[in-house]
Amino acid sequence: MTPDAAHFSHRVTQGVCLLLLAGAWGLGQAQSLGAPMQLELPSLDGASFGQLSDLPTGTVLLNFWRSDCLPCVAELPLLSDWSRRHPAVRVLGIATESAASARQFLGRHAASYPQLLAPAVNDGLMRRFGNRSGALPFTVWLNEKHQICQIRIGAVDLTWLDLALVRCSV
Amino acid sequence: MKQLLYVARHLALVLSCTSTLAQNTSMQLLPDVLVTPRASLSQPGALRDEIIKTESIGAREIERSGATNLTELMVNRPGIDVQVECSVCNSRNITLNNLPGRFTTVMIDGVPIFSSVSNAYGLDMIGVTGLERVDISRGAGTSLAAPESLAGTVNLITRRPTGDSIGLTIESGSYGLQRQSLDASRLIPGGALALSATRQQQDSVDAVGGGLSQYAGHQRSQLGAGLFLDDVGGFRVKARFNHLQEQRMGGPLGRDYDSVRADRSGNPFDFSRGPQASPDNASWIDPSSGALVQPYAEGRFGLAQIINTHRDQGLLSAERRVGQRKWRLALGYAEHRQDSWYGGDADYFGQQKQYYLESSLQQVFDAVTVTAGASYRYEDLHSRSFSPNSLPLPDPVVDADAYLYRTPGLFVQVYRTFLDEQLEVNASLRHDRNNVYGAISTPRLNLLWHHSDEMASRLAFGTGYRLPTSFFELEHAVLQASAVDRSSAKAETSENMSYAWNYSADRITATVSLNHTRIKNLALFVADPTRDSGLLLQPAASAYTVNNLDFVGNWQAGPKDALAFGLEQYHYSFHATDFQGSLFARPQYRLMLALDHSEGPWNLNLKASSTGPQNLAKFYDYANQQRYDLNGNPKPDWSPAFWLLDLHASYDWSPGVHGYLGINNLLDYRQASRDSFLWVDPTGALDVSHIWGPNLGRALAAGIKVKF
Repeated sequence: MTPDAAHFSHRVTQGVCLLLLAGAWGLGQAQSLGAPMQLELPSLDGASFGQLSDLPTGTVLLNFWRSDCLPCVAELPLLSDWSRRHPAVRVLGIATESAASARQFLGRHAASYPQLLAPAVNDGLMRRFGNRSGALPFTVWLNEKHQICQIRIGAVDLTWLDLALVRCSV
Repeated sequence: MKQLLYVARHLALVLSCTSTLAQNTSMQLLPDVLVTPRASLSQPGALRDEIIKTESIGAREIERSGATNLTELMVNRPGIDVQVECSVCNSRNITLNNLPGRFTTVMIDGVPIFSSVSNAYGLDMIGVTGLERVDISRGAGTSLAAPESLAGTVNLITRRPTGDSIGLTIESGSYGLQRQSLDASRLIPGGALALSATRQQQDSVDAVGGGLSQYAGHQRSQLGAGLFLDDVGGFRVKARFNHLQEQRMGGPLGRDYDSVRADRSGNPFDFSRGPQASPDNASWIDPSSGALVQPYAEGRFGLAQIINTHRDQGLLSAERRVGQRKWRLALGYAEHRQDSWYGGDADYFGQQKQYYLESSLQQVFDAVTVTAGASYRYEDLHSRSFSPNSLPLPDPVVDADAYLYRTPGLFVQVYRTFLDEQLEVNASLRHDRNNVYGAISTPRLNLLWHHSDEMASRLAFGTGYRLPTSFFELEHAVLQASAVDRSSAKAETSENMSYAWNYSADRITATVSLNHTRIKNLALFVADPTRDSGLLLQPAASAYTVNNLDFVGNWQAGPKDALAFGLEQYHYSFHATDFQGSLFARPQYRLMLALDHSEGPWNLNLKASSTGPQNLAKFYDYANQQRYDLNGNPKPDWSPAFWLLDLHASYDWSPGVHGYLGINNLLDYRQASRDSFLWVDPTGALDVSHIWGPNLGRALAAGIKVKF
């Protein structure tokens, strides 16, 4: 390694440590989730934009998914069945992949609820709804005021859905 | 010893940081968040991973691009492009931030198994079927696993099948393009199997009618098998094997390789065709005398490049998660064989083997994630060659460009969030010990500040190193050298600083980034003054610096229409004489516009790109070696700016039947119509590497994909 390169790497290493040590004193801050959420995404069929403000009053369940995400695929029948049994809850699927591949997948595995399409490169969308890791599947409960009530990163189960419904319907 | 102490001090510093942080960590999780262990997939931008993505091309974009291989997929993207390095062989490399292509590391599932030989012709053989996405990391040291990526990495993520299917694709197009592809997947207890087979061929292309191609014809085939197991002793396993084979020929047209090899006398070419052509069909002007050189008389083989490539590669990656701990194992193996007939130069046979072994452990301590591991990389190259024009055949030259590198390495990475995840910090340090170049340490630091959920800034500092490879493709003269002295060569190093501002709302995303990259010790072959016809492999006397500013925006204009815009501006700083014309010319700016429209079963994608002028005089060091046209006139100092337009349309007849039509280079802009790929040096010697524009004109391709 040349002296210049060694100097540069030494400086970067020092910077790494200083920043990490400085950051160690930083305190986490609680985040308020009180604001009503907004959303505007094209529908999977490309007919219109779907917005939360267009939905009738009531609790909303948002499910972010992709067809190549195994837990997303696994939970789809459960969500479809649950949605049929709870018509008062507006369930919206949000496909984070191409319209073509999402349509192709849903052609073989029908979902009982409407679907929106999110650009796969959009980092801010899921983060806004509380998913900072970007992992899928990701499910969000919104209460009647469209405030975030419950979120789940990973596959859902019946118990969680039922409990969340009770909590978010209050 | 001094190096060891230096590295030990760095490691101790980072580890002490880690320890302090682990003890001080505090983070408030929102009470209503539940994270289950079954979550998957991550998005670009996050700093948790060992490879920090700056861009990601998903299955959607791969599909609509109409690309059949990796190089086609990478053409004309913001900050990413493909550099054609030779008009008769079409050797192509992927450039990131417009840095030389050999500084881009290609990986599959995070395993780096492409090197000097495979980068020359192997990248065209990498298909894009069966991929979940392609992650691009621009900047040195963006990957913990690949410190040699001085410009960045391109990581292909394979897709784990989620159902049983058989897909068949048949495509036909201009210039004799024929492609057939079969991919099948089947779920098995506890996992899935995937099989793929592709065959593709295309003719060589001569746009000026002189009988000499500007685009090499090829025949390539690929066989692949993948095994995905979800639970093997707690490990999630991905294993993949590929066999790839390609034959290509440039120079003379056609596919009759044997007949071309036998044709070694007379002149089958017409050098008086095309722009700034020679006044004579059999020779060209020698700029030093202004007279015609001796008529060309080496037959079709004299300007031919016939390259046969065979490649076998196997990869295995396994991950086991237990609570907050993740253990990763990765194995890679590749054997690449290239048998090349270079008319007038040599029959060259090169064989390269690569092995890669990695084990790492990741542990989450609340807001701190620590990853530590070890890797071992093995890479060798052996070759033999002889001049086909010498009779009787001389003894072959053995291992003129051979090398053997063994590089064990250790790495540690600390990821930490601060201020309720508003600030993400990723710091890492790698230490490698190479059998030739000794100990090398490469630190990197990434900071991501979330101004809000929609807006973030990323600041990155990184270093990387690359062991110089003296492959024949980089310098043909290596075979004729009486001796090659590599004792003064040094590891090529890179320093990178970048800042990116990102805005991401439901319908609009925008990224502005500033990048600074300085490459030092760039390896060059120069004449050895102490030995007659000897060569020295030595570092360039000064650094090569590229600064660039780019802007990329996407707007979902309507429910059916998405627009994309990209603009990048480059500034290159280097002393041309120190690089002896070895750097390939790159443009001052590039501009991209794309429209994506969907209407029922129709999908339409229109992409326009403008490439700015290239300072040919500086990159090719005209001050020391002016390039001339075949008519004896000097080549222009600058290339012109030009626009390209690509159109891709697809139609879904049913969920299982998909048809598509693509027209690349709709405006039919070709360099060969304005400037010859051929050039003559001041002594009258002919070369084929004057490249600044497209070598293929308007090209149509239509296909149908049926999935059962």
